[in-house]
Amino acid sequence: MEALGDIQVLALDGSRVGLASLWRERALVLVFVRHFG
Amino acid sequence: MFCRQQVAQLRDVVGDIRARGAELVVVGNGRVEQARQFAEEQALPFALYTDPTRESYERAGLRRGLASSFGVGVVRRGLAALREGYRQGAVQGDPLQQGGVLVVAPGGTVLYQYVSEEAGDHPPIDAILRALT
Repeated sequence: MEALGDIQVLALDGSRVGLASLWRERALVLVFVRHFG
Repeated sequence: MFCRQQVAQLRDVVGDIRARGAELVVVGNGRVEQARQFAEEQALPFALYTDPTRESYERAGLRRGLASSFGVGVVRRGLAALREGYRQGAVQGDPLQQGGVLVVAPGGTVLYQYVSEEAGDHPPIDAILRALT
């Protein structure tokens, strides 16, 4: 998970968010969808 | 269409996920403006992010390719989704990318992982909830 946690994704305002920050405090259900459509 | 179907399923269980002390986020791979439009259209009650580089998909070990996008099973699932009332919008992102789900404990331990075999292959919601108990 370390490798994935290093990745940054983009929030809707364009800001970068590290994936690891999303599961730092609590459990996370992380869903990857195929695309938007 | 499949992503609309999936977020509708997730919308129904986000309360159950939060009741277990967890949070739900969704990641796509279109542009930021496309993600914003999708979130507004679908009235998502959870956070949506996007990764146009798809690096997170690659590191999560998710599939990508023609065979997983246009097989017989995809047609079958597509017809089922149509019967449920879902319609395909303009594809905004990589049409060959498949999805998946991770349930991650605080600190990073993976409790559950599901790699979609092909388009429309989503994990059972019960399995996600069980991973959080």
